[in-house]
Amino acid sequence: MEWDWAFVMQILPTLFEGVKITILATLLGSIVAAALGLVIAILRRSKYRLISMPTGFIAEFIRGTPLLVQLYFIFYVLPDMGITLAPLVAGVIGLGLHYGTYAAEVYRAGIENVARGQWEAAKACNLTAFQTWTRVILPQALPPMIPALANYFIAMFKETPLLSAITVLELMNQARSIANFNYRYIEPITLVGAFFLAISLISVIGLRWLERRYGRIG
Amino acid sequence: MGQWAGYLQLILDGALVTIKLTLMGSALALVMAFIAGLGRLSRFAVVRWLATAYIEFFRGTSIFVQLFWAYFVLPLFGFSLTPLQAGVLALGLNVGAYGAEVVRGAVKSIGKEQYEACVALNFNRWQTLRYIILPQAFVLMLPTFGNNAIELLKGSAVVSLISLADMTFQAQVVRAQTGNTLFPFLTILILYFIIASVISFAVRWLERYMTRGLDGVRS
Amino acid sequence: MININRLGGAVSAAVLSSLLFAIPAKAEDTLEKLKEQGFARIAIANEPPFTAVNPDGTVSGAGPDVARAVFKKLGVNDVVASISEYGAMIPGLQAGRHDAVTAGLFMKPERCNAVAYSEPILCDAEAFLVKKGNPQGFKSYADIAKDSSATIGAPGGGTEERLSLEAGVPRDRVIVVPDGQSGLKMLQDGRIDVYSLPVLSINDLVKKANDPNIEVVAPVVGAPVYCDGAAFRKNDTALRDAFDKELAAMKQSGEFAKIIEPYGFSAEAAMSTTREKLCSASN
Repeated sequence: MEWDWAFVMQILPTLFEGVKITILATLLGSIVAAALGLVIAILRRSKYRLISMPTGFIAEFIRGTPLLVQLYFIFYVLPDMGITLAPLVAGVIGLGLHYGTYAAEVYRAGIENVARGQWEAAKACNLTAFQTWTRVILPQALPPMIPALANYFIAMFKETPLLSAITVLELMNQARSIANFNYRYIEPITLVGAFFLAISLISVIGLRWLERRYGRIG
Repeated sequence: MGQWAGYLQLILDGALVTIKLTLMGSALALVMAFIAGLGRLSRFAVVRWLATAYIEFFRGTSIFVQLFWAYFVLPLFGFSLTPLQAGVLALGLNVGAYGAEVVRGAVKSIGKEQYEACVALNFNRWQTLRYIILPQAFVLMLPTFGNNAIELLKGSAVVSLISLADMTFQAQVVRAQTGNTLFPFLTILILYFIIASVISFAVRWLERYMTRGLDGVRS
Repeated sequence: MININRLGGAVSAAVLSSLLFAIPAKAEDTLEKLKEQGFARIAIANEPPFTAVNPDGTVSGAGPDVARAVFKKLGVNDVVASISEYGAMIPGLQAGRHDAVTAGLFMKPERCNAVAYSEPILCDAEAFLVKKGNPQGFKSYADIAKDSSATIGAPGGGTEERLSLEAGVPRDRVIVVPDGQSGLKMLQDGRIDVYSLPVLSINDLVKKANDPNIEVVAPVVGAPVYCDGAAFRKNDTALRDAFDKELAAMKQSGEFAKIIEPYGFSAEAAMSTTREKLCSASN
């Protein structure tokens, strides 16, 4: 089968519609993941084992099971419990939940990365817990987290095609629709691949810059 | 109840396919990780360049896209793969690219004095790598390899979309037959978690096993 | 310490040998090849009663049953089925992944250009599944196009998806639904307003769902009765002709009707039309 440039030009606008949804899902998913990750990280640090243990188990469970199945679960099982989410919302929650557990690990590593002496010094200076966090710990812990978080958000971006399985009309779904309608797979799928590759290569350069600017964990 | 047993059997058949995919994919990934990871440390610019291209390409494009490409586009060039072959190929090459960075990082983290000792003992490059560097580096790679294997297991769910009868796919079949959504999905979520736990347990055991007697050696 | 080198070598050899096993499809004398290997690879959907997967993993449904019977007469003892999305069937056939498609892939002129169809096998009209009382009063695909808030679910690459798009429903209101159960669920959950499949598939779905809040609209106005055929690769006309000959004999002997009528299909409908007629139809 030959590569057909005319066909490429014809399908580009449709694919572009999908690109918009892909980017939207990634951005929203990143925000949810960043926020949720913080909640998980804080709960896991809780003094009460009744809080920290179940949170730890749930996070491990989410990290150990496929995003695709989690998406199916959110999309098809939750309505039985009275929660019906729009496809994109379900997708963003799935992405956010899944990568939130990864983000939590980043936060944990970032906080543990701050030397013990800093905590002790804060105590010696008679700082309150709030002051300790905002003035001493977080300013040191946050910068190295940024590249690590960015790394996971890029990974999330590459998993957005899974949303097509729950009928979100993102890039991959548009490409499959085109392929199904025209019985031609080569151009749409290759273009999707090229798109992801281009964005990833750009983001790798961005990531290297972030690492130089903020350092790495560990 | 007897009916459920039949459907559960179907899901367990799928679990077998998932395990097979994970094992074969991990094997391919391991090979690719070493080839590309060591390739990036090669003396020859061409080898370094090829390894980098492989790593960036497979890390850069999504596993989903790679799988579709292997399944639908490759046959048009005359390489017809069964769904299983396409699945193993895409998963192995994809995770191998991530593993390559682990190999590279671990090898580079081995102290300079180890290399100097090898020079002193008149080892050639291959001997240095084989007897001194890799045995130490491999232990460092293990935990991350374990995580990569779990990522591969999770990625394998995607093959259900190219009609390979893995666990996720069988769950869909059961769902279509019974009209029940909760049972099949909950079952496979638990099964995936069990498999992932087995992997991380096995890797931890292997790590303990391989570091026996190394305690005093490592800095 | 394990021998990394030897392990890697053994593993890579195993992986490579399993990967090199791929055989490119050959055009000439497919029937001989099928006879030799003893089975034909067919693509099916999981859409009862056209095609169905049993709890024990075996395949039934009207399409595979007819294919199995005809192939047996041709000296090919068994069929091996793989489940596929409708849109992926024809590319899969062309890519040599399947030897035939027997999945209720209705004959339409553009499909006739892409594959070699047998004579008609399973005929059915189109139907809508809607909420009880059909609140929006949908009778045809054009009705859905007119209502700017209505969404319709259809299988990806299936006839219904194409009919919706051709009737002027915009792409973002045609929701590609992976399978019947998902379509039913999405309708019940209010995610789509209409779910469209052939009449018999919808009836099967409704029977299993046993839900008093849904209703069937059949047949859809303006969508004629379609018939599928077994689809072969364009250059496999010899195999197709051999298939046709046995199919015609089975239609004559009444064996054909015996296979498909228990599933609810009309043998009469398939016998009263021809491939030529269906492939040249302008709709």
